Amino acid sequence: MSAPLQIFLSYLLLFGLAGGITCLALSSLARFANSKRPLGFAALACFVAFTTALMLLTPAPQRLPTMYFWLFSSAVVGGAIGCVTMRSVFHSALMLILSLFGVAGYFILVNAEFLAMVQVIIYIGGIMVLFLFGIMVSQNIIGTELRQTSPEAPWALASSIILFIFMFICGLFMTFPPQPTAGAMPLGNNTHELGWSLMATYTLPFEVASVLLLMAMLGAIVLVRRE
Amino acid sequence: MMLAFLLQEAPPTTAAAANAAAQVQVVPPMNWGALGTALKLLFTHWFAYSGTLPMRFFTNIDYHQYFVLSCLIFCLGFYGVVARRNAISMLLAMELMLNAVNINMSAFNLYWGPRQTLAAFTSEKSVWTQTGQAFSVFAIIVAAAEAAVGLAIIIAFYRARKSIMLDDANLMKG
Repeated sequence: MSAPLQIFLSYLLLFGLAGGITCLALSSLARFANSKRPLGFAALACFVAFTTALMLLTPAPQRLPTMYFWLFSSAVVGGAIGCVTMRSVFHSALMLILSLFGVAGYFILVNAEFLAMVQVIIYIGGIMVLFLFGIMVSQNIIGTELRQTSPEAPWALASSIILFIFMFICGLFMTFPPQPTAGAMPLGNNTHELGWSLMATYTLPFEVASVLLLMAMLGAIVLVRRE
Repeated sequence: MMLAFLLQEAPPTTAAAANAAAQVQVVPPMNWGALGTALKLLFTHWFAYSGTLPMRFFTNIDYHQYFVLSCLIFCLGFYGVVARRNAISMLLAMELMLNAVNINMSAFNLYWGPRQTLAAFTSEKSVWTQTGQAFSVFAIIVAAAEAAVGLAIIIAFYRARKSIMLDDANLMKG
């Protein structure tokens, strides 16, 4: 790839990402509610530019994992932001389901196929459906327009930003051991190895976890039982 | 966000690691033009430790990206737990925090999973232990238990006070 094209694509990638995020943030503000459509088209164009530049800049063997990684990242981060900012609790739970699907994609990317299936079946199919039932049981109005944040929300936002910066700096200066085989694939079956880990190495935590699940089940039944 | 890529990678120590590193396609240094030169002058002490510019954050997926993304998800969940008034929203944000931990454990298991064990004496292969994934399974089990008990507590509270706002949970206030 020639140098001027590389420079152009680099700037296209960075400004496409920044412009797309800016357009989405502007269109979510209530002040711009009347003119949401051009901002949405601008955000779409910016993300298309970002994707094209990313695809052209990435070397061929890593192209597909990279694209899938950023696809799942957009789902995870967008779902998480929607989960903590939506006013309706029902919509918040739906955005969390989107985020959990992105996490399942991450599990596929890091060769954890069993965890991805567990994520979809247990987390989304079990826990989140339980949450949706809880929301429908305990709320008279689903699309409530109540204010959902406490008056301390700006302090919470500031403290979470400080926490992110702190964790990021810790990760920056953390020294990791060298990778045994960089970029190599696992030799055996992942699920086979996970089964050996669970049933041979970590048998005691596994049994303790089963006792914990039994206690949680009994406790939930006792708590919600009518007299 | 891209600072983690400016640290220099450790050179491969053993012959096997050198072979594995040689098979990975080498990314050429990125040329960014005039603005890149200005940035280099501004942040010389950062760029001195890296041969490339932070474009690699987007094009080479490594454990750094998983770390940064899981940090972001964890902090969003922390904000949700602290700032939301609704008890169910708080539980949803706690699920986000648990998922951030799961992402980190699985991703680091991919990069630091292999260990030389007894099988290495017979087959000369490194064995992939799945410790991170096993602890992710435990975290999912704990999340299921937490969701069941938390929702039971919320429903019992709703029967008592006809509300799920945490501001109304003041029965034990003196």
